Amino acid sequence: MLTNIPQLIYVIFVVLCLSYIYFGNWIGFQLLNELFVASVIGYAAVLAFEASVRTGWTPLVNGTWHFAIPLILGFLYFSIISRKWSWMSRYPSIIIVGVGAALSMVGSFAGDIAGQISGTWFLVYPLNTFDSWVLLLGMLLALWFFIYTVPHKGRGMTPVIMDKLADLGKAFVYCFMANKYAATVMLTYIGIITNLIAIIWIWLGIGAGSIPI
Amino acid sequence: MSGKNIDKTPWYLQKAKGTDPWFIKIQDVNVKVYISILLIVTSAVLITPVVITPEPDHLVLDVYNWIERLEPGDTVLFVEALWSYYYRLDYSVGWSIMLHVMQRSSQMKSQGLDSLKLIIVPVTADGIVQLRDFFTRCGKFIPTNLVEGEDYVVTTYLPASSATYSKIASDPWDIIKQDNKGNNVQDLPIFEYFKSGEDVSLAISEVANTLIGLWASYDSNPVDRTTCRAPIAIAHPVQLWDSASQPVGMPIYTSGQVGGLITGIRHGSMYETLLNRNYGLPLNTGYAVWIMGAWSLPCTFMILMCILGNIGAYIERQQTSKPLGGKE
Repeated sequence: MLTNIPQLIYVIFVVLCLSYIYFGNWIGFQLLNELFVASVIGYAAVLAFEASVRTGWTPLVNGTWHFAIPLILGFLYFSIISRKWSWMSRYPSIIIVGVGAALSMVGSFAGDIAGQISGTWFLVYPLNTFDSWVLLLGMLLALWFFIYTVPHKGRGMTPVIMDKLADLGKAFVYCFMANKYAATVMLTYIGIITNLIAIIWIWLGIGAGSIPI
Repeated sequence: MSGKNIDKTPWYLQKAKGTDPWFIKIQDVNVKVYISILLIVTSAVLITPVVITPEPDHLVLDVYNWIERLEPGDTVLFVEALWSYYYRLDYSVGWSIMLHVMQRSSQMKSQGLDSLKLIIVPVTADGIVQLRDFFTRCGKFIPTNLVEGEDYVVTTYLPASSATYSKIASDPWDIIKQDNKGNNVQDLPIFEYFKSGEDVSLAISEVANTLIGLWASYDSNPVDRTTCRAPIAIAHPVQLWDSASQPVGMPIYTSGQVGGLITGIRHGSMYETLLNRNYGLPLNTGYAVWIMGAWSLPCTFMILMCILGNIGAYIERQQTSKPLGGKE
């Protein structure tokens, strides 16, 4: 059963969330929506300020002068509020995007590109199982679908073999997307189960899950 | 002209609604009805759980057998990234893995051997809170012959970033200074077994690509899961992901980049089943077995409705010559 105020607030919020299904965008749901956005922004703002002071300002006043550079760059973001000076906010953005992309290249090239290419080859070779043939054909046809950018034949015209192969590749891509979408639906449903647990196990105190193991 | 109102509706549409079979009609049912059915089914199964204990598949057995193969004194690194109640359900398999390592460690210790060294590093802001939940719920199943600081430890929170992972893998003492109770690393005997990433015999991670990308630099060859251990084990962490990530994770697993892949509720329930059979732990140390029913039945209902709805739409299209592509 409910034993404290945070649990009560949690359950009220869950009920307000679920109310969207039956009552649409009514005032209770809107209130929750605004409250959520406001609290997230407020929390993030406080954390950002605290982090700036702790990791930027404090070392600076303690003598680490070069910490002034990121602080100034960060401060330039505020120039976006002025139409005249907003161009200055592009400099920190450029550095963030450039450095971020460069750093992520190190990991993503090793892990996502080189590792995947070599790993796929190790997986399909030798071609002695049905799985490895399907994988090889799927990979080649899906690549062909993306590479073959020539317009396919229109209605009433006989498609060439290349068009057919691209269509087969499209089928493999659809299989992956359908699988991914189904998995996302299942994940989302876990969120609904979580909310129902809050109501049934925690609030009403019924069901096996409400009893400690 | 006769002046009569001639009904030009095709004969097969004139009484269509009255004679439509039910699988065509279900397309017109209000979506709220479906949602209500889903909520009622889920609630019913939560009140009276349908305990589903699926047979473990090779993905779960890979990790389970890896832990069984660990030898006395081996180090297990658990980079814990639980960050909300929502994901706690999906990732509760992590609890099972921690319990498994502890149970195995206890067996070794009771035989007079050195124990396994479990080092848990929370990398999300509420990680400590979530771990406290684990110790509250599963505390009574942590063997009493294990000593915190000697056999297992929870470190302080470290922010999840590339720099953090890189440092954990290369020079952990430089970034992990204390455990979550404020004891210095130098004073904890367990850290004598973890001075570098190469000491780790099994790395478990709940974060994805960053870790793989960085740790791949330790060993770029595909992992041999039957023999993998220190010093290359840290390059091939076992990945714990949510239910939606299996399609994304499979290529990384099959290419041999990660040492194992466990995703979502289904694998969680398999792991809990294994622990129940082999170590006698209750089925509900995590959440997976209990909510497996509440998760499976509505999903089955959704799939059934998808199939029937598509059959109905196909037949209706045949009858009315509607073009492909849904509503006109």
